[in-house]
Amino acid sequence: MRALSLVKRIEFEFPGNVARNALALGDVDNDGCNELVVGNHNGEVAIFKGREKFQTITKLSFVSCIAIGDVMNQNKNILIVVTGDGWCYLYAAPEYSDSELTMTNVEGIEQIDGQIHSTSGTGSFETLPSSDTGSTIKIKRENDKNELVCIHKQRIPANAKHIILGDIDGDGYTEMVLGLTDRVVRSYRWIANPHKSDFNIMDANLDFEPSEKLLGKFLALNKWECANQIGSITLHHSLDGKASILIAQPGGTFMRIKCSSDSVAVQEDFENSGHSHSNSSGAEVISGTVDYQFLGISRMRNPNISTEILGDLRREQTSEVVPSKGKPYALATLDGTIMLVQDEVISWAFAVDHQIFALTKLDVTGNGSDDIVVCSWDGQTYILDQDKNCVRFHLDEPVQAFESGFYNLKTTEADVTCLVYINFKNTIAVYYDLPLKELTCKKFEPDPEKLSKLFVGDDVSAEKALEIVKTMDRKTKKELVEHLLYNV
Amino acid sequence: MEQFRDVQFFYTPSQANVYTKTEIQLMNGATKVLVASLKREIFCFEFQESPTGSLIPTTKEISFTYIPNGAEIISIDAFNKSTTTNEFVIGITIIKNSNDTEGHLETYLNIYSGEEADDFNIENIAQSCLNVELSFIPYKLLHTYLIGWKDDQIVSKEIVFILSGSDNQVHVYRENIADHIYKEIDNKEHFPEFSKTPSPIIWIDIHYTGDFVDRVSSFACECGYVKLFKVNVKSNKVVYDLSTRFGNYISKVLLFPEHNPRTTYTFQKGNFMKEHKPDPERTEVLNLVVVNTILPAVVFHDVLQYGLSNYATLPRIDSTSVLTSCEVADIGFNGMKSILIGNSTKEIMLYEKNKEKGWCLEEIKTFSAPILGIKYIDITGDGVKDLVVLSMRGVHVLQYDLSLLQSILNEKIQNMLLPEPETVQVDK
Repeated sequence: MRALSLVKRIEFEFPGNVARNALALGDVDNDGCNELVVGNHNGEVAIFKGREKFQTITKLSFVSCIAIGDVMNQNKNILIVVTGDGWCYLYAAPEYSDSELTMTNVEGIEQIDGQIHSTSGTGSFETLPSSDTGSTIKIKRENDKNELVCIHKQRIPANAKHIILGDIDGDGYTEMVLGLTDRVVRSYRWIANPHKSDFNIMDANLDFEPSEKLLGKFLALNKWECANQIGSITLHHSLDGKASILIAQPGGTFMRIKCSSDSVAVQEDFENSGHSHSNSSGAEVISGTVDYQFLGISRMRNPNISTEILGDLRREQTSEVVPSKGKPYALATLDGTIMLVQDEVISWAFAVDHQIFALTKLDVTGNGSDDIVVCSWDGQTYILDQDKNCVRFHLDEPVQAFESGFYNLKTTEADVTCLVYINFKNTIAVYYDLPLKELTCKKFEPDPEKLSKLFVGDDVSAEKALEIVKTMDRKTKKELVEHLLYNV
Repeated sequence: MEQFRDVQFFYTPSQANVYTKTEIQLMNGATKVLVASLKREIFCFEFQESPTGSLIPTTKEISFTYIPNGAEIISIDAFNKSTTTNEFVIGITIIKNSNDTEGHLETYLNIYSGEEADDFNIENIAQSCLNVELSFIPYKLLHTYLIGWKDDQIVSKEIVFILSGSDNQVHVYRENIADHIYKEIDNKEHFPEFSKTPSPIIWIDIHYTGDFVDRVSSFACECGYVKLFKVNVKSNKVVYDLSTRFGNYISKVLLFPEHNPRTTYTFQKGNFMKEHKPDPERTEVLNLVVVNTILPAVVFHDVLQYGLSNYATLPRIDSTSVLTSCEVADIGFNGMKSILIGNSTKEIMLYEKNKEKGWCLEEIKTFSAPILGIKYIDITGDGVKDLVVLSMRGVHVLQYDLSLLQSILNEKIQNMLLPEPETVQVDK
């Protein structure tokens, strides 16, 4: 198998244990550049930007899940931190429009200095900026960092260990789906406070407490119970574009929940929704159909082995106008089997001798098709494309959490592919700009048409020359190439 | 070195050293790399071609016989006895810690050989061992031709092992075919240049010029002493004997011809013919590069004419790394030799000769581990040489970007199709 050694590496110090889903790559401050967010068991969340730590959020409890996405459906990314004891925090970067910028006056600028001291401390919700920052921070952004502030805090059922963000019911809005350690999957939707629709936490001179649900709140939509422990959850779109949630179950199987939004729109009155936990959650809101998939030879597999699943792998754009098959999705089991599945049929399976715990996707080669990146506890990483070509990379130390994605080293440069490893030595290793244009390696094959030009002579036509080159045996061709290149 | 892409990294579980990599070039054009690691594992790395045309890198651990537990491998070398078939001889020097309390060390040169008519199987070779007990700690192991001249005719041409040792001497081992053993032969008779040196010899390079009339040898010692000899092989007389002294440990000496060997090919009647024609117009120019571990490396130009007097230094930018290895290669396909020097800070430095400024540091490429050795050979078997780098963690293979190669090739073809400028003038 092809193997690589990676050279470009950044290391960050980050003490403590990191849960498997407590790291995310994404544009958390909406500046067009991807950051890395990691949370640990001690309730610290660190945001890394470029080669430096950008911000630390402290005084949370055990961080179990981190996600970055437009969960408030306001076309801006929000950082979601879910703790094991059942708190969900939303963090956002203060954002200011140009009109506010023009409002900036001398008085505002004078307050900048005071503001720096109040926000650059911990960044947790206790130190929310209180006044006038709305008109001043924009100026600061030119030369100072724009730290995230907590904008919302809500109690949810405890023990979440997986999080996905996505439009699960096809209504055009992003939902949040949590997988819990007690075999339960819950979905939530953000409901904005209608009375505070243009509410800006930054400009109101009030004592803002994030738990007060001023901006809105998460409304619980559904609760599903699985038969077995949840390996991971993922969002997948079938051929007709309908979304479904895939929940990995032990033994390389999974449960599929198809959600459809044919039920009544959930634009309930905000006040009424306060009681939604009891009367409006469940199947009335989103009718879902649930089925189990065993994927063919599941009897051959260990029925108790924990499984990871990842949906919606992009394929290279083909000339086909209407694709005849759905998007593929991948499964990986802890005993080292990686499977690519398309329309519930296993396209291929690949067995390795390492315990795979993390399954991610990344277009490493940049050809428009997602590659599968898996990592094992001992640091062995496999990058597989959808044709089963594989490249291996070994990090020489055990790994407790892994992520792949895109990261920006500089705000002025384009994002690059990266692999993020969190080891047991309190460091985060980021390997960036993976030097992989192709997953396979090939011999150099000279273009026969060009070579044939050498053979065209008085009695040799172009066609005959091409024929000569094409029928040339390998050794002669090799000698010819060597002669052409090195005989100067 | 933007033109190179990482294609493969062969991992070794324990580290190798500067002497433990060798190449095996089979008659069918395939190349294998043998690497011995500290914990006496020997790996054979190669590329196999799959039916779909992609290259499959393979790693095979070869269990060579007579390498006991607890032994450590110092150096390894391999050559092909035959010019037509695969008759490989592999030499491995080992050091064996004996169990007695005096800490007496036993050292051996193990020579493995086997005749493989069609199918080359390294496992078979690894099983037939000839053992030579050594009375010194072995250092660099290499091979060279031993030429026998009689009345202006080459009467014998065989390959012998050359081994430098802790006794400050160079030992030559020659096969005694009748008894099927390898025996040390007297240096004075065949290699008058190898006399006792002030300290152990780290590296030796030998180059035959012309048609084996002269032999140029250079070697460097631990104390920084560098020797350059020219020996007339016919009369076995030393033509010149030059020496210089650098202050530090020398890591490598390398003799390299200024120009690529020239072969002439014809493309007549659809046939591609190869004929070796010595170029009478081109006099042989031989350069010597001496890599010092601490001081900058030095290139001696045209040592056949100027000896060690015409030299240039290769500037270095940092002063803390240890320069470990060196390779000379025409990496730009322009006939200009570039010098690649690897160091302990995981870098390979590329030097190119600039007409005005002399040797300049052009590029630095970083690897994931300290560099132990560099070789520019065709390991993928496509006619284009690749950069094979031995580091502390394994072997890195770098291949040229394929689209870049095609454009270079197109240019070369274009140039060949253009009529020579002189002939155009004649026609007019």
